[in-house]
Amino acid sequence: MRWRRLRTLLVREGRATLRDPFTITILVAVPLVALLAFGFVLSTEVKGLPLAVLDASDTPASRRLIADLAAQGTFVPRRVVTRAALERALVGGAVSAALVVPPDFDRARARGADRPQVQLVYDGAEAVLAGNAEGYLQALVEAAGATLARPGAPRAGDGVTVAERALFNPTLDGKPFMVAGTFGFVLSFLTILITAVSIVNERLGGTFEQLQVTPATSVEILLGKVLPMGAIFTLDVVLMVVVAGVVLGVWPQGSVLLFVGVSAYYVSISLAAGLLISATSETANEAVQKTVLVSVPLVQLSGFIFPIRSMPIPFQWATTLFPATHYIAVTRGIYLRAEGLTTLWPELLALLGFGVVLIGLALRTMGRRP
Amino acid sequence: MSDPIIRTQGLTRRFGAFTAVDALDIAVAPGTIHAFLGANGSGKSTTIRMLIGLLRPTAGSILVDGIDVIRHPRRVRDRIGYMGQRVSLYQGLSLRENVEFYAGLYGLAGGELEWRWGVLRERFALGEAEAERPEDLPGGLRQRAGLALATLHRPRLLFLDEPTAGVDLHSRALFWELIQEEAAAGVTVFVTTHFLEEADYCDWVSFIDGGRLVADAPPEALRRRFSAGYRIAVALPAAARAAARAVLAAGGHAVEESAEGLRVDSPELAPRLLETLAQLVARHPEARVGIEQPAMTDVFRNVLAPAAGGRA
Amino acid sequence: MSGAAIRLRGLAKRFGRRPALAGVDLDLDGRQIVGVVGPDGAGKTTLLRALAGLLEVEAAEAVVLGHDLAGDVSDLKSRVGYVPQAFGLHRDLTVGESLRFIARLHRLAPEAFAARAEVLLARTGLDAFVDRPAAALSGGMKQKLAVVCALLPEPALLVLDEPTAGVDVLARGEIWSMLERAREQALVVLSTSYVDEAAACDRLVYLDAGRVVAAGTPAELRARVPFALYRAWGDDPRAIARAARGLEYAQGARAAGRCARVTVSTARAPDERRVLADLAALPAGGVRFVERTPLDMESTLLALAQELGARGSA
Repeated sequence: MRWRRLRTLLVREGRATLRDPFTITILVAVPLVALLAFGFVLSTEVKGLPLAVLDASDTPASRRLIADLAAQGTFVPRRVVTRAALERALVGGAVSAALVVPPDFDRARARGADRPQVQLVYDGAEAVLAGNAEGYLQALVEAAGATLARPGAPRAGDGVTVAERALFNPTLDGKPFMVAGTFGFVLSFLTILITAVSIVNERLGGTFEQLQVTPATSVEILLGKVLPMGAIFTLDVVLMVVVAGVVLGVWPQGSVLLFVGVSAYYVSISLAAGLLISATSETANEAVQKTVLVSVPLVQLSGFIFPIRSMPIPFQWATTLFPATHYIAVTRGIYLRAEGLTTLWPELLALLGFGVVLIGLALRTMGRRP
Repeated sequence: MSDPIIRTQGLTRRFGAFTAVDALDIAVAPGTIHAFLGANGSGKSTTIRMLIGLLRPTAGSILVDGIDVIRHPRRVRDRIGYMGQRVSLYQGLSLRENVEFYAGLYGLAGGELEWRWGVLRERFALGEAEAERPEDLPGGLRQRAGLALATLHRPRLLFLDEPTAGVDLHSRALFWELIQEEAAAGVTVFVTTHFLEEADYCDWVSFIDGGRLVADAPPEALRRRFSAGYRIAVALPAAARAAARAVLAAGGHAVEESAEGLRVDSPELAPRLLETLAQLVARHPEARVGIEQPAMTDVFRNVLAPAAGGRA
Repeated sequence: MSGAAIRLRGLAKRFGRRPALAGVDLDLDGRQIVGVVGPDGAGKTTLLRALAGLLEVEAAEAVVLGHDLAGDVSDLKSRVGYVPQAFGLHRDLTVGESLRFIARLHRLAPEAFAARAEVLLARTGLDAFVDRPAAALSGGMKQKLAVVCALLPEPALLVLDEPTAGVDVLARGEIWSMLERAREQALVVLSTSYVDEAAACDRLVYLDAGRVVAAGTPAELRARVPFALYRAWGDDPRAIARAARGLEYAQGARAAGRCARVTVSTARAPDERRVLADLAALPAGGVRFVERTPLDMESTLLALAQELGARGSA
């Protein structure tokens, strides 16, 4: 391999890309839009959720319970008077959950015999929300109940079980979770797509053939095409880190350097995948279709939106087959838990393995003549 | 033929059940223009792509400038220039930047590049187009630019795949002049085209039909074999006919009578015949001589004609 | 058919910002074969598509077969047979199915269809392949099928875009015979890049940069070109051509076969005798015989193109 030839190829690719306004827009706009969309809009956050409250007891104790809940800010209580009204509100979507305080709440509490019970009602159809709300609400109620049992000096074990507390994200803010996942989504889907389409188009245009006839080796041609793209996507990563921090208030808890390094490596894995897709596609359309085909299970099985832990075991194994899964795990580790090499090495090892295989395959494909 | 610079033996390429190229044996002499003619889908592009190592043959051998192209395709690359069917100028770059790009790949730079590009720019009339983007250039200019890029690194062999397709007549003519100049400078040119008339610009013609070689000879030899030959009409007043006839007969040519005068049919145009005609005109200045050269299209029609009828 | 079948004044068409046709004036009538020639990008395909009623155009006047192109063209389309540049038929339909499809589109009466189809299929040799899918036909056969489909409803106007491009030489001749036959019933307008086909047309229209630059019979076009053609026969025609280019009145010289064709500007050239003598005296290539020949189609078209180049409008 000659450096001069590679440099010639790199310069050309860089020039052509920078002069293409369409590609530049896509490469900058899509990651940012995805970031903001997922960060703001799709965060499965629990905050300010309307809560229907049916206080059948209507005593100072029950009113105190409800007031405590409201003070937290997570839920916004809305009084209803009848069971029917509660169900209407729940099913109609006006509220996300409902709390029913039974008529004998105060008497039961005063008796001190049993733990007073309240009923939490959810719309089970809103599974994700319900899961979050349930956990939260339960904790809050139990904590409020403990305070009630022994005002001023709540003791663990009093009233109810110890409230769960979320480690590493006490407010259960969904934004960092989604932001971290977005990196994985963008660097998989967008990178593969742009790479595959760009190479297919160049092949169809005839310039690829022309390159193959020159002294440039397939390694040089491959690197010349792919390195500038890799550079642009790595810059994208930095851009996204900054935008996520400034606009969404989400900064990595762990090492930014490690994160950018791993991301750059992941970009090269996606570039290789894009190359493999382009090698098996006759037209740009086909390349797009194949990328989408790959990306849909990727979104579902990488832990990006749906928690892996709640999947059936066979599916959990299946998720390990996607490099994206490991990358998202690493990203979340660095962003949310300040993890480093010591704890992330299994995922990093997996990524290394994927990289070797995919990049190796890509190199082989490039060199092959039809 | 002295040692051919390109030689194929039994060259075959199949795509599944379809045989695109069938046992091709061709030899190209150095410094000549070798035309590879045929209709679309006859196997021309497949053949040229195999010759330059872009496509691997199913069977057969290829030797280009002494190199086994099948085994070592990379070794030919610095001595060949290629112009594909789609002219390979990058759209995001100006013509000048394209030149620098390809030059970089061939290790051409600095003063040498400037000088070489200067020569080509002049010869190919590309001066005003240097700063333009390829998509803004007219078709004929783009083709010439493509050829210039192919010869930039002074290859010994040029492979041109349908270089004149879609190009206006004027540019086509200019293009062939340029090709002829390259050949005169010692470059071997292997060119495919579906314009059969262009065979006349070349030294040798391989005509391919349905993947098979059906004719392989210089254009004149094909004319001799597959046409009624040259028809020379001499129009002159009746009084002079006898004398003129004597001149022609003295040269050993069969002479016929025609309405306007005399007629000579000859399978080829030997120097002696031409000289006889020159003498004739010198002696009879009122004679009008017209030489009808068989058109290559008709020649190739005759090449195919026996096999014709119900071709699918 | 009487009167002007096609009458265009100032026909223009833009695609986005790109002007494909910039004001075409044309009068065509009668039963003849009209060839549209010109460089790539001149607007030939656009013009043909406009004539077939496929485009929305602007024009001071645009009448084809009595229909205004600016108005409702559905009736026009039923009277026009159009053969596009790329193969425009369904690849998986057999030859027979393709014809039946066309017949149904045009609502041809079954007996009329059967009779006509049989004749056309026999004439083209396609009857042997009636049950073969169109995609499995050779290039020449595909084009013939496309022409047959266009001829089936007996159109008054037949429009073909490079019908013989890249087709093998035998099929090209056969397609041309089909067109000559079609000329008996219809006005045939086609575009071509083959010089021999241009020479065989009854009328030619030379298009460049969206405008008609020259129109007329081949003889008329030849007459207006201010060049003369000479041929110098000898041992090394390429060397002769190179030497001939040095003559100051030579417009161009090119070796083709055994001769060097030298185009001479009639304005700048001395008399014929002198030219012949100069050519015979060329120092290189072993000139043995020189003659002046009538301008052929290739030189005519070349000269037109060069004229445009000189005027700066190319």
